[in-house]
Amino acid sequence: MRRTGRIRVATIDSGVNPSHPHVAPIAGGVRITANAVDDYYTDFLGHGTAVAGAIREKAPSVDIYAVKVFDRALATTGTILLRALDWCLDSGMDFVNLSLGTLNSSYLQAFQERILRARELHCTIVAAYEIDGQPALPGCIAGVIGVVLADKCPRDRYMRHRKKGRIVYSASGYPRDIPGVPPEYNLQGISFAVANVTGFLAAEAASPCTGK
Amino acid sequence: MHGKVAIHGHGIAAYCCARLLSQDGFEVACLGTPKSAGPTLLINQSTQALLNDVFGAEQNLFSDLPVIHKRIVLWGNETEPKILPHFGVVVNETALLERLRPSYTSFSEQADWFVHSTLNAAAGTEQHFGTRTANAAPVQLKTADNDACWVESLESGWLFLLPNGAHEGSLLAVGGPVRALLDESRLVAQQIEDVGGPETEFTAHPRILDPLCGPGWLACGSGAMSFDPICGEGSGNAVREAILASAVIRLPGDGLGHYTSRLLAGFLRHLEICTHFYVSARRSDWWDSEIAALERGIEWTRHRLSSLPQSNYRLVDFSLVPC
Repeated sequence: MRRTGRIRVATIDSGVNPSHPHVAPIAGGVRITANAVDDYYTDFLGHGTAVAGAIREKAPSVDIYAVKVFDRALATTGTILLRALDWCLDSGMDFVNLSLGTLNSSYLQAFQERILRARELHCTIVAAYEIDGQPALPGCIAGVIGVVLADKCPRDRYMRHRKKGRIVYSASGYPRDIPGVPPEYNLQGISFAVANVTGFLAAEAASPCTGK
Repeated sequence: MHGKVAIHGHGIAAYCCARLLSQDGFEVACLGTPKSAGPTLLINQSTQALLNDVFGAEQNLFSDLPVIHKRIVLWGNETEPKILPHFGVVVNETALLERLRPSYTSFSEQADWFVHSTLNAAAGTEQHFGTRTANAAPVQLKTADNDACWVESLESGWLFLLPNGAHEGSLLAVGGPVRALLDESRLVAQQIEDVGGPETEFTAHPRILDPLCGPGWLACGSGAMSFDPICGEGSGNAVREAILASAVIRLPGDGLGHYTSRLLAGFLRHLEICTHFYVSARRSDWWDSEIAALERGIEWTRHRLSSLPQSNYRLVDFSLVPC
């Protein structure tokens, strides 16, 4: 992997279209399947590209890496998700954007181990705090930046507030505007709230005297 | 009792080691004299979380401290300052250490482990990557509005202004004396009414001890390395090193290789990020020579890392476990 002093952000999603003008350039990427790790990270769904575009809009000077775990549908297994997190930690990412999560509590301990390892490696994981109102893994675990949707929050900022004894972050669920497409017809939701928060935090880390 | 650990020093790393080891049954003594005065620190969120974890704080250790809510940054070729949110707390280092000071035991017998959290020149050779120094001075601010800190790059250095009270602040000037750099300033100088004295000078370039550990001893905190303040990472790194040092001491096996490789990897990342900031602000020979030293540091650290075997451990919570 090419090493630079820029902040490294991995987005675990459906891959990225590396030539999309809202995203380019992409620093690298990987596809993680049940049996293999390869470099076919092209996005067939558009979701990962829109997520990466939201991060790029907020943090123009960071290195973005695509970690593809969704292929033809926005679904994967917990095991693949954990392997994707391991790849991010082994590859020295500063931020991991995980727009989705799982309600399956059997993965709790495995996620906790990755989160503690992320602390050692100084990697910040940003993930959805809840799915359909239910706390989601890994976003609800202490040590993760858990994000909730705040549709009334302007797109140029994020908020922090207390929820059930811990600090959660919230941001708009709209990605950047697409010319000619009304915002309500664009992809939207918690995925983009997470991506917006990741973008803001990465941009903060990419400026001096921050201590990311 | 698991054994005896003598910790040289009274800084953040020393007290974190003392806390983690004593709660696990070690006899711990902190040797040397605590500093009577320290700099003003900006402790960021992740370092606050780490310290709360290490000290098992039921209540946030930092909840009563003044908060910095934004950073105002004029860096490199930018023509207008950027305003970025921030959630750091301001605390004098001495006051912070008072909060963390352990109620440790002392012992006269030979220790099983030594932790050097201040520089022990007998343990190794220091590698320095740069020549820059920082000068810190108390300043009077024009306004009592104190929830923003200020960062500015200049022709021959950079400035960091941190408010620490109504109309009061601490100014860090890297690359030259405070007044000389303020003369070049367009942003920070506008916030300052008057500069107090005296200035305190200290090293601002990255340095690292080589080797970082050996049988029965570990260098930790400022005994192991120091960071350029440009990254705002010095305190957080000291806590991380202390967590790792304590895990190595608790480990029945040999964790020295893991310790060396993790500390070197952290140092390398620091050098890379520093280089990025310095390249983006490059405006004179001063910046060029410091960038060249950073690049030499990157090469040196990569070379050291390449000669180390793959670690067989991972840190999980506060303990090293086999992969």
